Amino acid sequence: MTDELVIQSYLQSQASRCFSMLYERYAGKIFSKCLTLLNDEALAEDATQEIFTKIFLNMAKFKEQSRFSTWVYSITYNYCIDYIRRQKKDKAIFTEDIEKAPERQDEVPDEELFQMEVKQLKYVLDQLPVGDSAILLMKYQDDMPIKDIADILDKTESAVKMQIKRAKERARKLKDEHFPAEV
Amino acid sequence: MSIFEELESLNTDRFDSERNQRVQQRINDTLSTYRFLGQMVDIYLPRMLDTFVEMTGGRRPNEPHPHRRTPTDRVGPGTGSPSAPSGPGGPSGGNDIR
Repeated sequence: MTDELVIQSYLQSQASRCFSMLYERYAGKIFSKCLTLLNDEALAEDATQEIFTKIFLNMAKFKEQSRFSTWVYSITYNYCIDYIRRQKKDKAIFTEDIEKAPERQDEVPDEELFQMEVKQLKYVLDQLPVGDSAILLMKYQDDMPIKDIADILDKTESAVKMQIKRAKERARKLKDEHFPAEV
Repeated sequence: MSIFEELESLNTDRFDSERNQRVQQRINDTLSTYRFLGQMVDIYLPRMLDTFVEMTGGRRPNEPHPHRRTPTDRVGPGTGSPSAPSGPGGPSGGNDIR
């Protein structure tokens, strides 16, 4: 049964069976993203609860203009970004907001990111500004098209491409600093 | 499996069944509270508004205007049932002055 059919059924009947189906499909993934971005299991658990509550209270607003998963993840990413922003009392959530872009640099190939070990990737995502981590997860974990990422972050597609490029550069720098290649 | 999917899988494993049930229960509790509040608003808000209108000197929506008569309020000839005699001198007319 597709997500869309489950949603229609939920909106008509408010059946707890539909709620459980959607919960089982997405709870683990939402928790995983919250854990990566918030870096704390208790916070990630609370966030998962609040995000799901938001999803079910706003289910009628889902217009099927995008996939349900994209809508769910957009709520998740925006929740985590807003949470970090509130904690830091700082609007800078992307590398671009924090440091000046270098004059000209070659783009980091995707393969270089994929060659990291999991613990290295985890370290790098912990150290990156939350916006950079989120944008890398959207692109490489969720395989979202640039247009969807732009919609979620309320930015233009070219701005998103630039931010992905900057996030990859920053990720490579962090990896090289903390996990220098063995000679 | 890419390294990002591997990371997701590792994190998802930490969402064990105990944590899963705890979160689900808390969501159910929150949604039940919202439903209960919604029902309370549905039931009591119109009554509270009526009471407020009455207190401020207005009329309830269904209450007839005191100075306006509807056709069924008429007193006098023709107010009885169609079969009942009408007019002065009828056996049970409202205008019986005996």
